[in-house]
Amino acid sequence: MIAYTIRRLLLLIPVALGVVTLVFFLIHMTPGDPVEIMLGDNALSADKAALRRDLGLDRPIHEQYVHYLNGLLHGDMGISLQSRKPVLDEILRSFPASFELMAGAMAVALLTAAPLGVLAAVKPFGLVDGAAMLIALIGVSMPSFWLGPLLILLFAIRLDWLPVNERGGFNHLILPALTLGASIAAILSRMIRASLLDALQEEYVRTARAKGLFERSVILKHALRNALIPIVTVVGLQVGGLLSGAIITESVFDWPGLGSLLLDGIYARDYTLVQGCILFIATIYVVVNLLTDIVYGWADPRVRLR
Amino acid sequence: MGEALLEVRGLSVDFIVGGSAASIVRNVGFRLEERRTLGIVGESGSGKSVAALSLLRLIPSPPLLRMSGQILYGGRDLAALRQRELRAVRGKEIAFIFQEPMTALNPVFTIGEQIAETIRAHEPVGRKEAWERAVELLRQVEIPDPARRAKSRPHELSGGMRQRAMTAMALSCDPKVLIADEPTTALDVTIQAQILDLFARLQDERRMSVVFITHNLGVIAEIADEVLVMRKGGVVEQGGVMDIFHSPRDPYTRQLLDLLPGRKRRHVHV
Repeated sequence: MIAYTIRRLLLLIPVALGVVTLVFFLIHMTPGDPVEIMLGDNALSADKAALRRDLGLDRPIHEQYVHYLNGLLHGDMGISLQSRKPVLDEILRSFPASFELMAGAMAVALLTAAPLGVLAAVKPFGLVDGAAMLIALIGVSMPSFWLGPLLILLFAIRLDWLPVNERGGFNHLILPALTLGASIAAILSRMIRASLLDALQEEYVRTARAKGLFERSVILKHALRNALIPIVTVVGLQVGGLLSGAIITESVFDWPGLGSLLLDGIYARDYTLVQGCILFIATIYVVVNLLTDIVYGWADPRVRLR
Repeated sequence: MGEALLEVRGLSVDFIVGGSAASIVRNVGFRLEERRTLGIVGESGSGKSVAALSLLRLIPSPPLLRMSGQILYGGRDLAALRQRELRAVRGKEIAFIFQEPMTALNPVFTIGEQIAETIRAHEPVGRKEAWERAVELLRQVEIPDPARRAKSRPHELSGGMRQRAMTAMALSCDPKVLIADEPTTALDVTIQAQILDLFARLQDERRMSVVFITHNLGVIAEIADEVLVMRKGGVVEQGGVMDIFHSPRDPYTRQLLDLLPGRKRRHVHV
């Protein structure tokens, strides 16, 4: 198990190298010059040249690449071109906000999907099932850049129940978490319904009934426990997906997280900041996938991690 | 003729198949007396398993369309009981053993947990006591090192061990009737013989009545007192095991007997 974890973490090295290389060259190919953006149109060309030399942007691109990789090997993600602060500090400053939003969204997703999915599966094709799956369809069909403003219009402006934007107490988290969690809730409730329907056809469910267990125990213990095994994988993948979904939601709600940081970096062509953010997101993705596999091994005792 | 413990009258079961009704079991009736064994024999698709599952109304709807007839047990008609009352009979008065223990046992729980929860569903006992009784039951079905085995999950046991574990689970609340649906079919012949011996011993010790469902007439000859031969959902012949084997009246029964390997060397213990 420990050897397995270490091997999986070593996998991070090729993944990180690939991500860094791809992002490095893609962003350098993107039109737009960070120096032009920082100094504005009216700057003198001598000033621009000085700043370019200062940032190391005058050197050939392969030298810049090797220089950046060398820094990474020493744990240095570079200095943000725009703010002139270390990229790692910027990322670590933004991450708690993103984490809070992701946890909130996942809580919204799980707390709605589990009851909806179970109710739908227990009486398939009935009224509850129809209603639950209609809600799920609406949830999955609504893009977050549309759902977010709608929620703001209704709950913040029309009803004045919740604050509009920016991070703060629990009140501030509700609307962004709903926005980000809605589509995941929709996907998960459909998955839980399908998975539980399958489990309910299994012979061990018949055995559980034949033993004289209460129906509640047959469904919530015997069937659901097995139905959750494939759900673990979906939840893991969705947590990864949350990172990219958060970029849109964060910008709709002016949420000071990793997504906003990345977006600002892209606008300013802040090469080092964008590279750092994407490398960080890729790392989290790999770690979440590893955690998913470990949880999967725990959920399904027939699986042995080697 | 002794007192009937379980009596089935005119049991018919219809399924809904592809949108239309199909008759799966037609007018099946039998009497099961105390400490006796009824063998229900027939080929796959003869309706024998559906008939057995229907005794505790274990067929989900769909595919179940309707069920009629009487299932008389302890002065009550199980076919007419409410779900709540029926639950108290399942596992407690009448217990089931299924064909394939690998799929019939829940893969994520230990066998000890699965036995203990059966006990706790019917009796007001604590977790610890239920667990101890589970271990003791595993000992009675001759599982070596039962305290350790109780912590195993089904996939960690051999086929024979799994069937012993399922037997222990069925016996956990001291049922009066044991319904065994092809309990030895998934096992190889040596293990099959061991399990049949175990059944015989347990039935004797616990004074149980058994309904034994199989397609194997050789097994029926070993253990049954009475036999019911089913084909295409109906009963073609029923009677004492000696009568059926020595003077079968129905041509289908004779066909089945002719298929029996080594028929001339057959031993019939009655």
